Amino acid sequence: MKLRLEIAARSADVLRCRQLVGEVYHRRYGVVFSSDTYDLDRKIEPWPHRFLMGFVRDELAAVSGLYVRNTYVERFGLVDDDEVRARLREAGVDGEYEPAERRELTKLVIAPRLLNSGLGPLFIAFAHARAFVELDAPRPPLVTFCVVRSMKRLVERHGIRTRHLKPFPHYKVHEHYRSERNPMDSYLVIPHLDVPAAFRDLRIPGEHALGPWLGDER
Amino acid sequence: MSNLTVLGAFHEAPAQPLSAIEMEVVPIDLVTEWRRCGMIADFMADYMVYGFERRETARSVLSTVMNELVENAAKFSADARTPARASIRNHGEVVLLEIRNEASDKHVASLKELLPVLAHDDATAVFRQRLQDRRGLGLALLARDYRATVGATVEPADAGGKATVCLRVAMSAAEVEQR
Repeated sequence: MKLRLEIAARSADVLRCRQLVGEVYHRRYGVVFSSDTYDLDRKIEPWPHRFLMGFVRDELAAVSGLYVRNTYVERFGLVDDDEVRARLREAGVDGEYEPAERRELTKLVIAPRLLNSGLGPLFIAFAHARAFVELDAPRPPLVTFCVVRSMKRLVERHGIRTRHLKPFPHYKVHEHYRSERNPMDSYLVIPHLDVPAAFRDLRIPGEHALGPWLGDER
Repeated sequence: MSNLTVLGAFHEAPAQPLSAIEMEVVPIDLVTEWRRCGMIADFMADYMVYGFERRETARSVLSTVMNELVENAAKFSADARTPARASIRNHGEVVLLEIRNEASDKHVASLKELLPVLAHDDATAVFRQRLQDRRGLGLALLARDYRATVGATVEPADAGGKATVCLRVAMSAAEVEQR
């Protein structure tokens, strides 16, 4: 199987991404979206600013969103610059990154037909490509995300290293997502240390054979 | 229409409205931009207020009720891509606000529980009970605040399809104008 990666640029592409994300998130978690307002207690979420699209032939098979500012972990996860700075210091990183310059991967959705195909964890890894997360950034940003514990394993499946920031506060919007046994946390990724080169340097736009990562049987 | 199930106080429509508006909305559009629920409700209310002397009041009441119905369709449609139809019909003495959509089984079950209770019990008591049970308040709130009757018809699904629910709120014109 081959996957064609593109960053949504045309209005119709953004609309398709939003519809796929909206459909899945609403059905699964009862969440709705808005461009100009949010209220996590009323289950209204802010839209990501950009989307990475994965096509199998002409079918939109996977989408990942990206916040390029006002990230979810800072607005709702209450992660501040000092906490990020502390993680950088622990990692022995000094000066390569500005703690306040963060982007966030979010709202990963796989088309229902391809669920459990292994595409999800791989697409998360693809979304760490600098061609996506660093697009139009004055300097390489840090990457954050927030997920439940079970999802963290999927993020790490293809070698992405995650650094725990702090537990995510409770909001009604996550009532069908997180649980006591599956808590939700904010994480940091330091791209040059934590993202394997194969993903960091991935060509976007571009078409990529999935066999080397998923096995030839797919 | 013999298969139609009536739930709660479903106000039958008089023959011909004096004034009406009907719109088709696709639930996925609402899910992806929640503000559209309010936009549709405001637009439909704005369109209809010329049939009322106390326009500001009518606008606020019609918009509030319509918003509840449109949000209902957005939240509980079985398939977010199947269109729903929203309407307001002014029959002179009575105003009917309605949403018709393919509903999930869970939503039909919830209406089957709520609407008969709302038709027979005091709306304030129903509202208090649902508040205590932390269950959906919107329809009970409309019944309580606007002395509205709320009913629905459920049309069974064709093979493989979903039931179509027509949720109708009836209010006296005097209540719309808060006279």
